[in-house]
Parts: sequence; C-alpha cells; structure tokens
Amino acid sequence: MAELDLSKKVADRYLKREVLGEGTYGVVYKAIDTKTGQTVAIKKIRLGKQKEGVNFTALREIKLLKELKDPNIIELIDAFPHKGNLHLVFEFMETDLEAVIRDRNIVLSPSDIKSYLQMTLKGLAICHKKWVLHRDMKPNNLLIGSNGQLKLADFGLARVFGSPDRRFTHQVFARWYRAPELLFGTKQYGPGVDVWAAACIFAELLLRRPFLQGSSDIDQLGKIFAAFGTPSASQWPDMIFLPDYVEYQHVPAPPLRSLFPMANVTYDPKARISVPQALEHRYFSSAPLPTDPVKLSRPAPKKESKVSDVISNEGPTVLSPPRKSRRVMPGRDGSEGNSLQGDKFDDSVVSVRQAAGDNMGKNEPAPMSLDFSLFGLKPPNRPTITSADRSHLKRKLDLEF
Amino acid sequence: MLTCIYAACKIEENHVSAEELGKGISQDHQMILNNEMIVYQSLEFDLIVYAPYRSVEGFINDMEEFFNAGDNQLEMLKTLQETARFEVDKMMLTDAPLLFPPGQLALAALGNSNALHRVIDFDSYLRGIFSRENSMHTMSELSESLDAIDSWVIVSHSNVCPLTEQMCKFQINILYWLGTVGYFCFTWTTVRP
Repeated sequence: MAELDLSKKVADRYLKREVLGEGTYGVVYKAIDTKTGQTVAIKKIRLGKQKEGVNFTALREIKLLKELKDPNIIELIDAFPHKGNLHLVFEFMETDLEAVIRDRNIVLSPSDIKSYLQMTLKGLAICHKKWVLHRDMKPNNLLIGSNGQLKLADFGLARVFGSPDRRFTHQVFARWYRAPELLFGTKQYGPGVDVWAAACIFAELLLRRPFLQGSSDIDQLGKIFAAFGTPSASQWPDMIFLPDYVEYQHVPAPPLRSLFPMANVTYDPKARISVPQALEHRYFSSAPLPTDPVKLSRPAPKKESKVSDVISNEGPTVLSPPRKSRRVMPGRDGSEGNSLQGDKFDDSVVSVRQAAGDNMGKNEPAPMSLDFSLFGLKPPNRPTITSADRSHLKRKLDLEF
Repeated sequence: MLTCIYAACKIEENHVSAEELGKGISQDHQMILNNEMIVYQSLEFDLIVYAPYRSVEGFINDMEEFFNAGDNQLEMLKTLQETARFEVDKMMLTDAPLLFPPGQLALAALGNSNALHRVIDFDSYLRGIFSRENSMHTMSELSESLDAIDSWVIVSHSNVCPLTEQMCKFQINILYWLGTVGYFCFTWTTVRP
C-alpha cells in the first residue's frame, strides 16, 4: 500500500522527461511539476548499494539547502524516496557558467563578467552569512536559469563552519580552485577558501580558460606562486606551520592593478578579502556597470552533435589569435587590434586590463598557467576531485567530517 | 530507536558506523540501515537542529568585550560558561529547544548560571544588547521568553529518569530526534508484529 502511494506521488506530481546528466551518485533528469506547472530537475540517488545507508552528500545537500533561500542559490523544491531511491527535486536551470565560458560564439563584455561575478558573490555572501562553506566552487557548479540568474548549486561538499575547534578535511574543491592553505594541508579554515575559488572563477571569466591548471598539489602551488609571487614571511606569517608545508624557490610577484579585485585575494586567509567586502569594492560601482541578468548571452541548447562542433571549433580559435581578439574584445578599434595580432601573451593580458577598465597599453608578463596556449595545445581536461582524492575523502568521512 | 541514534550522529557530522552501533547493543546493523529513510521522511527532511551551545560561547565572548574583562573576571566568565553548559544540557531534555531560538535559550542558561555565581550584572548586559542592536522587540518580551524557558526546564527536570541521563553522555542532540519522532516510532513499533 505504501509503495503504491509513493508510486502515485511521482505519477501524480512529476512527469518525467529526458535525462540531463549523470553524476557520481546517480542520474539527473528533467520533469514537469504538475502541481505548479514548473519545470524541475530531479536528482535520483541510489540507496541500496551504500554500505552506510543514505549517503552523506545527499543528506548534506538536503540539510543545508533547506536553510538557504536566495535568488542566487538553487532551490530544493522537494525530497522523497521512490522505488528504493532518494529523489531530490530542484528548480530547472538551463545551463552553467562553464558552458558560457567555453562557448566561443558568446562574447563576454566587461559588464557581463562583472554581472556573473556579482551574482556569484551574492550567493556566496548568503552562504557565509548562514555559516555555510560551499567548498566546491567552480564554473560548472554555477547554474544559469532562463532569466539569466546565476545560482550556486551542488552543496554535497558544503558544511557549517564557525566552531573554533572543529577540524575539516582539506581534500575539498577541484584542484584548480583550491586555496593555498588547503594545498598545504590545513584542517582549520573558513570562508577564505570559497573567496579564493571565486577569484579563480573571476580570472577564468576574463581569460576564457581555467586560470591555474595544476596537475598535482605541488604543481598547483607552483603555478599559484608563479602567478602571484612566492609568499614571504611578512605576507603570510603562519604559512610555515601548515601540516604539508614545503619551501618553494622565491619568485617575485608580477604587478597587479589595485583596481583589480583579485589583488585583494591575499595568501594569508586571515587577511583575505571577505565576500561582503568584495561586493562593496568599487569594481562593482564603477563604469561599466554589471549587465542586467536577463540580457546576458546564453549558449545554444546542449545536444550531442553540438558537442563535436564545439570541439572542432575550439582548435582553430586557439591557433588564430586575430579571430579570437575580434570576438573577445568587440569594442576595440582596428589599429590597436592589428598591433596585437601575433602576440598571445599581450592578447590575454590586454583582455584582463580591458575588463578591469584599465586603458594603459603597458605590457605585463603573463602567468605561467598560460604557457600551454603559446604552443597551441588544447587545455587539459578539467579535473573534478580525482579518484585518489575521492578515496581519501571517503576515509575522511569516517574520521573527521 | 537505534536508527534514530544512527541518523542523528550522521546529521550532526559525528558519524558512527551502523556496525559499531549494532555491536554496542547486540543488534543487527542492517536493521538500523533499513529504517533510515523512514526516519528522514517522517521528519519531512528538516534535518538541522540548532542547539544553544555555540550561542552560549558567543555570548561569553561578547561579555568579555562588553565588560572589558580583566584576568580575574575572565576566570569567572569561564565558570559562568561551564555552568551554563550544564543548564543547556537540562534544556535539551525539554521541548524548549523546539519552541525558542538558540540565542534565547543561551541567554536563559546564562541567566540561571549567573544567578548561581553572581559574575556579572546580567540585567545591565541585557539592556546593553537592546541599546546596541536597535531591536524591534522589547526587554519585557525577552524576559517573558526566558521565564517560559525556565518553566520548561523546571517541569521536565523533575521527571528525568536515570536512563535518559545516561543517554545524555552519548550524544545530546539525539534526544531531539527521539522527542521529535517519538510518536512515529511508537506507532511503528505497535504496527510491527
């Protein structure tokens, strides 16, 4: 009888549509909520195979999203068991920020980038205000709805912070977005780790490629230090006390404009800008103002055939700087564009300066992470938490979470 | 009952495996796991319980600044905090945490602790909070809430049994769960042959 009732519930309320994707714990598919007429996304989480019952990520997602209601955080509409699986019902989101960044048909103006960053930080501000760390900030966890609103999603790694003596795992975030203190193995950390990841996303919006693409924790730290300079004792006094600290060869910091909000993303987590402070930065109140979300460009709907098209298009784009210049910076005059035709470094740096509203023509050294573009190589596949990290994470689940 | 304990530990991120629980009480751990979803569903997946312990800690820190506490007074505030924690332990056995926000529970605990130790001028501290925070509410409203919380503790404390006190030592928040799903578990137990 109970089973029949549960079966009716899905049939009576949610009309199933196509599969949207598959994650670590189960399938996500589209559906229509017949009660409201709203389109939803349903995440189906397998239960039977788990050795320890309902899995942590699902519980964490339910627990925290019940507390977080905001235009910039995805809404959990419903949760219920059905046919031996746990179903989480979310509002449907058309696409994600990663798709926007990778779509070469989309031009991201300085206003657009400012708008995306602002919405990201607004969602993060609500999380931190409610004492929640997201801990998996990356472009494909920032979903975009039909009205252009960007929303934080995937709270499977999120948790409550603020108890002075609680220790957390340092194995969080996809590596490219992991803060230096996490890479040095700290287990006591706060909202600064999310701020660092948000800054990496900001850089990715500007560069149209991931900013610091480390292939290991050591390599990630190396790329961070190459981009910002090796931290000195005065910059980050507590660095040497971190569990996995190793000494790096000193590299001086390249100059960064003070107008550039990332300049305030310091090494020392205690000195790092907070999300509310970042939202008050003059970057958001100076011209050009952020684009209204409704007016932001969105990628064409994802289809299997489109994927191969995008891949084939990406190669020529990388090898053809003038073409990319025209697409990325439509506002530039012809003569200035011509002068940069053959120089990839200047192209990227100019892109950064242009977005920051800085009109100086000064050349600056590009971060080491851009080396791959010099040789026209395709960027490596975007990492999630690797299988090695994940097994470590699972062990940590029993010990320290 | 065991499933509620298991689920509470899981939700509070102090995980205890079902096997360990099963061993400790000579029960098959699979039975614990089989009922887990029923517990969550009966709670309508409202899984967070806000305990006042952290609020007590926050108020103590705030008092240190408010009174510009010196070394001697810091020691007394620590004593105040310790006793307040025991007050909170008592509250957790009542319905009060389901009816009042954590901040008010913490103030009630600190008020009782201060009545015992006489560390600070508690009333002037409360007035200080109101003048500082531009509160929409009045002092008398807060006093009513604090008195109501005390009433809950007084009534319930006299009915505490030894078994319940034993369970306090294991995981205080579990008792929330027991209270919240008590009716459901009773019904479920009855239905079971």
